[in-house]
Amino acid sequence: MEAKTIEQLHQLFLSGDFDIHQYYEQLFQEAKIQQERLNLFVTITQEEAFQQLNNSTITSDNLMSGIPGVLKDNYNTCDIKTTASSRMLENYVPVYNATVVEKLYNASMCLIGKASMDELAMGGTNKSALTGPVLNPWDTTRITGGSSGGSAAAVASGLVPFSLGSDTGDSIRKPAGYCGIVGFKPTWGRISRYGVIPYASSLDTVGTFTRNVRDTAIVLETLAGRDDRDMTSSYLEVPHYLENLNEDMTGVKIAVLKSVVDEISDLEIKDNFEQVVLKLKELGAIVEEVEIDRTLLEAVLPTYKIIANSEATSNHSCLDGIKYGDFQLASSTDEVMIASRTHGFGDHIKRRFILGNLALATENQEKMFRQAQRVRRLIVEEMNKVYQEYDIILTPNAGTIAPKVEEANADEDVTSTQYVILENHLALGNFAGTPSLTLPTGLSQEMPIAVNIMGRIFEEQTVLNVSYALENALNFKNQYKRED
Amino acid sequence: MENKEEMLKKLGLKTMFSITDEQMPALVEEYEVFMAHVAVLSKIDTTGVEPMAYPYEIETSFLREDVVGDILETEVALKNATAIQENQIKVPKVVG
Repeated sequence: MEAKTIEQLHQLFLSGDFDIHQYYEQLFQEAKIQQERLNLFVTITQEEAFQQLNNSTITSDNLMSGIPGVLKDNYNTCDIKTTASSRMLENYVPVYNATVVEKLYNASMCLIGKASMDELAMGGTNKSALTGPVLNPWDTTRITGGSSGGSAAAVASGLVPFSLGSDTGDSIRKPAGYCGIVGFKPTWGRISRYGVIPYASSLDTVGTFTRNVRDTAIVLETLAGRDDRDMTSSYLEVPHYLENLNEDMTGVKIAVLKSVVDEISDLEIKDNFEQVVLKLKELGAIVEEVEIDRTLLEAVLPTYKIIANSEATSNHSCLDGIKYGDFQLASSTDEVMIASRTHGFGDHIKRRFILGNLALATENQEKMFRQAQRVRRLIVEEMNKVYQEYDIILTPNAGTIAPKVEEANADEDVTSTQYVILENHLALGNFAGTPSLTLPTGLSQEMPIAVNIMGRIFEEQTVLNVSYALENALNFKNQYKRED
Repeated sequence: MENKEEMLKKLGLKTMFSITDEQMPALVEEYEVFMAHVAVLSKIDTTGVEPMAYPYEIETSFLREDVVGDILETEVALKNATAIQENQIKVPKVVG
């Protein structure tokens, strides 16, 4: 079966001569094939999907009605297992839906499955999932990236036109780039996070994977808006993102972060980025190189690690085998918690929690956690200086194509400036809470490569418009891969 | 003075984890990287800079009207419990 966009499916569903049940039967056959090939699902929800389909009414004014989608396994789904790919939550069945799940259900979306992720969303490879690594649809010897790897694979294999991921440092945008699809992290506060298993609350954002920008606008519009159950969600009105899409780039000011671009060593990726800049200029945008303070740029990764680990340690203290999670019998309450947590979490999670606890300890808190929060403010102020003059910050999405499964994280020099700056700069969008979209812009060694387009807070429309114009000027929209 | 491994083992227990000897080398390695991160940040002058806890100033309300919201029925609340007795979650005796 050929992969379709949300708008194409909507037209077919309305056409009257399309057998939607047969389509879903074929879809689940394909889901099983892709599951065997890519290991992308924790749970396939065939029964639920058909129930939702039978209860849904396809109407011309609701683009999401009957549309199949996939959720990362950290979205609470009532009566459907939600594991966050951790042994600790292996048998957890929520008794309520996350707000975004409710919104999608109300829009008559049909849930195809819950997607694999790095354990508790902490990782960038999807190798730490309880169910094993997710493989890249373009080349199954390579990773999808993480932490939203299963959600990325679901869209990049053409199974579904959209999926939800979550993004704390780059967990939607990196996998989107590695898999050749559109990954969008909107403004922090634009979409409710109620019912999403957290990682680091001051950075966590709900976001989307699609195969084109129009579909991103549709899903964003469905999800955005104030939710009284999440006090960090914004009261700002939700614009009609799809209706307002506009390809006119005349006068749009785009800043290229020179220090990030200078770290690209791969010639094909460098050349692709230069071509993107030329294309944007042809489209009428004003594109200029901008320098930001290098010391602060080199501080992005350290700041991220300290804040994210600390907040994660605190957020997940409830996973103790008593209040939540896998219970292991022992001789005292403390021993139960220790036994449960030791059994329930993977080694890398334990290391991150221990280091987070180190930074939060009374004697260290000022010099570690608070210092990281102060540096975060300096970094955000530096970004906001750029936004005083420019509408968009443009950078390459990554310095390489998706790494081989066995090489990812294995021999990486975590002190090199290429790693510190180029591979970790996307966290800038989480520090400042800005909307940030990853768009496929080419191929290198027959694998996708991408750029990142970041705007001012709550200026999703500008980010979508620039991405839409660029997408239409290039030839990489709606791509997917089903076979090696 | 306690060595690094002992310190990390103790910190592990404070974080409610038992760390085995086999897990220790990777933890020490990550600890060294973490402390290098701390060193990078310590060199940045942040005099007079307020810690940033959220990306921007948020307009929100912390209080809501005192009206009944989502209700979890007992039956639903007990759904995830492995053992139930008289509408309560039954847990093994672990104290005394």
